[in-house]
This record gives sequence, C-alpha cells and structure tokens, in this order.
Amino acid sequence: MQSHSGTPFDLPKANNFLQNYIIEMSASRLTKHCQTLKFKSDSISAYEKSVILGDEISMILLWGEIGSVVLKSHYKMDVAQDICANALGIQKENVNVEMVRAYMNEYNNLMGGFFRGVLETAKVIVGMSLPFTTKGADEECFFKIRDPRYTFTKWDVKSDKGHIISCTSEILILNPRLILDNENIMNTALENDKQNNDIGNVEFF
Amino acid sequence: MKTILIIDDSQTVRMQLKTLLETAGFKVEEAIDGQSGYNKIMSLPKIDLLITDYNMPGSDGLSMLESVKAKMGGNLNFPTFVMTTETSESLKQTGKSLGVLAWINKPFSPDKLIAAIQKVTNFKSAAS
Repeated sequence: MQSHSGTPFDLPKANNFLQNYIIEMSASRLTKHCQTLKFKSDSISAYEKSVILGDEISMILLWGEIGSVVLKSHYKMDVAQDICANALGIQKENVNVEMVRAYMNEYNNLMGGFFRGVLETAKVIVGMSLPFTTKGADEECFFKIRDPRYTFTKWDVKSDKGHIISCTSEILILNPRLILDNENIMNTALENDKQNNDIGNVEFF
Repeated sequence: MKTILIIDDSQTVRMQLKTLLETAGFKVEEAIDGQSGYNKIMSLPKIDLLITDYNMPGSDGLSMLESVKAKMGGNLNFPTFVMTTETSESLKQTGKSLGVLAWINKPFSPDKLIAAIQKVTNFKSAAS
C-alpha cells in the first residue's frame, strides 16, 4: 500500500492520463498480438458516434486500489476474422466464429495483462478477470454516470490495411495520486512496448 | 517422438502452438483448462514437456501444477513452462517453487519458444 496526498487537480489529470494511456496501449498490444499488421489509435469513425455497435464485444475487467477499468473491443465479425486470418497465417474462410472470439479475447487478455504487470512493477496490485465475449451496443448517450471519478472513452484501432476495431473504456478512479505518482514507470513500459518488436521473452529459473 | 502437452483456454493460442510444435517434429496433446489439463497429465503415459497458461477458467495453471505435484509425491515428473500475459514476480516465485523451469511472456515468439524447448528436451527440431 502506498501513501498519498492529493490535490483537487489530481483527478482530472489522472483521468486524462489513464484514458490516453489505454488508447495508446490498445494499438500497441494489437500490433504485438497480430504481428503481421500494424495498428494505430484514431478517433472513432467506424460506427455511429453515439452508439458503438459491433457484432460482438470482447471485454476484460481490472480493479484494485486505483479504482476499476473496463476494456471493451467492439468488432465486426468479418473484420476480426480477417485480422485473425492474418495473424494465424490461414485463409479467412478457415477462421470460424469460435476462433475469432478466442483471438479477440486473447487481445483483451494481452491488454489487461500488460496494464496489470506495469502497475505491479509500481507495487500497485490490480485484479483481472478472464476475458469474455458478449453482444450489444455501448450506448454513451444512455449511459452517463454523473460522477467526476468516472470516464467513458471511445476510439478506433486501425490497421495499415484498413481493419477497424472500435474500443471503449470505462474508468473509475478512486486514487488519482497513485496513478500520477507512477506516470513515469507506466510511460516507460508503454514506450518500450511500442518501440520494441521483441516478444515472448523466456525467463529460465 | 517427444510429447508436449499444451494447456491453454484460448483456442487460437493452442492452434498456433500446435502448428508450430508439430512442424518442429513434436507430438502435441492439448487441454483447455486447469481441470482437463490435470486429467490429461494423469492419463498420458509420457510427457516430455508441459506448457501451461496461468489465467484459465476453473483452476489456474499454478493451482493445477500444485495438485499435480501433490499427486506425484512432491515432484513434477516433466519439465514445465508457464506461458502467460502475467509478469508478476510473486507468481513467478510461486511457479519456481512448484518446479516450473521457465516463464514465457505472451504473445510468444516461435523462435524463442523452440530454442527454449530444445534447451530442456535436447531435441533437434526437424525444421532446423
């Protein structure tokens, strides 16, 4: 447990930092996951701006002393099928729905695991769910929580070949100082992830 | 032919591993979670290497290894890798105390994984 004293400016700063952090992380992690496509984050464009609606949503939940984070990837089946086929090096018609779900869930697992690992480096304990798939829309227009600690963010992750995954996050910050105190550690880890193509480190005991 | 058991709840990860390892000349067995992994370990006559995920429904990879170790009289009778998105030092220490030989970060690198496997199985890949 870290000690912290805050100022009234901490919450908006921490909110802003975490939103941007997750947006950057989403592109970097999908690039690592896929290996054959390069992804970047962009403002949302694929679907209607107020209602984020893909065929399915892959989600993962994180929680702890800092608060909670819900990461959601909304995908059109056809697009995710093509990303999966690229990654696995097989024909798109050989990628079935279950494979797409497994692939997109693993993407969320890679995001959640990275986020959790970075915070653990900073001695901040974060719990993580298993990734799971559901259907439905993310309707910002209907779902406004009037709490300054809460933010809903939406963005696209786009590949160099035109694939688009729409992402949303729901962040509830309980301890902004804990995030701001660890900005440097978190930024360094993310920069390494973005710039280093090295994956799959093997640590022998 | 050497046998590698893969335990991972992700179908696509199992598929990627199976393709890679079979191409390299290994026989691959699969299980989809900790419980079915435990059952598979108990039923297979010989395992030359176990590669298990950590985060899985039901029993996680380390709890599963703990059960296997208890059943086997305190030792894992085969080399074991944990392959996961988890980078927690405390989890690694738990794995080490259970007899895990290596901790591999996901997403995995085919080249690094094959090199690590060769190191523990003294196996020369058909592809090399």
